[in-house]
Amino acid sequence: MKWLCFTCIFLCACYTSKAQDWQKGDSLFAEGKYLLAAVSFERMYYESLDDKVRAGNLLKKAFCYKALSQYDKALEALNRIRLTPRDSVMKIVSYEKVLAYYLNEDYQASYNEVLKNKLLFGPKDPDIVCFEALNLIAVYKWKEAERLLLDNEELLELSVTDIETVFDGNKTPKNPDKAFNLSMFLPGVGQMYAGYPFKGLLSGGIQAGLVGASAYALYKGYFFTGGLTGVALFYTFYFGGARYARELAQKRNEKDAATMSLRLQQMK
Amino acid sequence: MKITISLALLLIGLVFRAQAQTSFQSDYGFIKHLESISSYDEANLFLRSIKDNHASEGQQDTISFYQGKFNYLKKNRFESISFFKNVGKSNLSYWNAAKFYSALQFAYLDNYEAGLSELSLVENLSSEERELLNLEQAGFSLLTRNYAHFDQISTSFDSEFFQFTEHQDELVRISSVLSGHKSKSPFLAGLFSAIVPGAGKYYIGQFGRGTMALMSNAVFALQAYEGYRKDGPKSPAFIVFGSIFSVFYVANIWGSVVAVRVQEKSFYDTQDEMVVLHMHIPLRLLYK
Amino acid sequence: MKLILSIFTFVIVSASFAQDKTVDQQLLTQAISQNAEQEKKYDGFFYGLYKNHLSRQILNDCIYDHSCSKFSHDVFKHFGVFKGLFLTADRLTRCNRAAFAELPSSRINMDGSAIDHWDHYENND
Repeated sequence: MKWLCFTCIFLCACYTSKAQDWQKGDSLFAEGKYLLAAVSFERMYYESLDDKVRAGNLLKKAFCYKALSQYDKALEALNRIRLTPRDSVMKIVSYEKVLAYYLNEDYQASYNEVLKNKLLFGPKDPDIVCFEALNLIAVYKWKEAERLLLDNEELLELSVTDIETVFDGNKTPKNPDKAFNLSMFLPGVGQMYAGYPFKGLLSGGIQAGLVGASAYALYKGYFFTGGLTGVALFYTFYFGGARYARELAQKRNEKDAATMSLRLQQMK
Repeated sequence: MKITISLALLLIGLVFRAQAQTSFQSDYGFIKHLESISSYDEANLFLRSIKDNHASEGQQDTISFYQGKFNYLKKNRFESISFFKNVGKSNLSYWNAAKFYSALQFAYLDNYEAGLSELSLVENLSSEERELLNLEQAGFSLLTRNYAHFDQISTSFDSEFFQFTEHQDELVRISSVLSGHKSKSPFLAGLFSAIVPGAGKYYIGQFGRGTMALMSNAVFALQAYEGYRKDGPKSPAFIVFGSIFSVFYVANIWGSVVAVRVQEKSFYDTQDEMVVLHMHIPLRLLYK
Repeated sequence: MKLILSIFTFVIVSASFAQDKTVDQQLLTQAISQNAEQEKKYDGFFYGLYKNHLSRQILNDCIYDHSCSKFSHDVFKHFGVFKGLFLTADRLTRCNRAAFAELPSSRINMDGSAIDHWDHYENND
């Protein structure tokens, strides 16, 4: 019997020396070792020749990177999946792409993926419709977003009043160039148009003060002081104010879009 | 009988084990796969976790080499150098590539002495590698401003290797720019700016900045003069604009002096950056 | 055989940890609330008034990666009042497009802003 024991012990020693099993992606994922799990899925992808198995491993690799909040890496994995477009796995892949692009703040790409998804798998997936609305909101197409939500009222289980509260009567984004031009026309008005009345008043007030001070200085015979300091300061506030108005309009749109998205998200 | 059974068992066991052992081949294939999809973080993690599985010297060297290479690709320069240090001579092509890569990392880190000493360790070079060594050494002699040494090496540049010729020519061009560069004098820049505000910046070739300095000084000087003429030397207008003018006047002198140093530094930084770039590209081309 | 086995395992495994849409919703809510968060507000009456409402209205065309006020703050902190004052005044005359056009490429960062930090002016007097 001894000889059998020795043989077994010897063989056991040989086998246990292996440190990492690269087929254990799922358990690594369950343990929260997402990066190791990602490598493991990549290894399984590499070792397999079957398209379905490869796709499954890439999809799981994408889940790992999603768990790590590295959405660009998740997208890299998702975009490597090669299956026929109408394959059922592709439906999951497409949803994951929509989500990852959205979380990566690439709203246009996310929207494009939504359209592709609707074309391939039908327009009645509530998750996808929601993403379409969120993406439209994020690219400031608020009227279209509202129409979409109203069209899919029942699918999303939302009431008309719900949808109205999401947009709160605000359906046109501010135009940054208009804000700039308004402030060039009358200082401070662009900031007010963007929804920042105090900043507008401050800017307008300072510029009016500078014009007044320059005029007074010129009247008193201080040609250089009025002409140089007055004009130079006025110039900086005039152009600075107009540029700031453009920035503010942009900021206001971002803020409004975020608020709307949050309201919609909380209603789901 | 006993012996036969135990031998049979051992044989079966070891055959399976051998299958596991041959996995270095597949691990290596996987490393190349990760490299081809540019997943350097994953590759590094993978290499770290297989390092203990493969004990032979050649395998260890391969792993260290790729660890160094992926860290280099991630621009982790210190880590990369320390991994390349672990590469032994089991495979001279890894050894030489490791030395070239380390030298380049040292060039990026401005540690030229260490870079040159890495280059002195290469062995048994192919003719292409020898030409690369020449080019790298020429680059280092530019970085250390040893123009005589550069001229000596550059005369032996071989134009036979098409992937290097462009970079050899560039190094020669940079060398002539560097050795022909005349440093400006901070004292003169300050003096010129003291005589006419902004003139010091004209002297060092910064016309836009010189003009702006002249204009701002003129603006404050005129206003101070106006305050003085209309209200006398004790008037607030004169005191305020006079002080502002003084500050800007001194600042323009000081700024001109400082600008010489900053400009010199940025001139050399720009040239060094180009030198390292032309040391880098041929290396990448050779070890694709 | 191997093929069937692998497809089988794939089906089993993907069912076991497929998508968890509640987690996705949490991720979404988190990301959106981060976007909706209020911008940074500066404290203090005068400093707050300047930083929150005024500083971006003054020309708003700084060519540098570190704004003039940050540069000024840094040089005052590291070099004291005397050198700080003059370096700030010099910097103000350099904050314009004419100065930007003359910069070498090594002094412009990836965002297209000029690199000019207080530590470039160390040991220069």
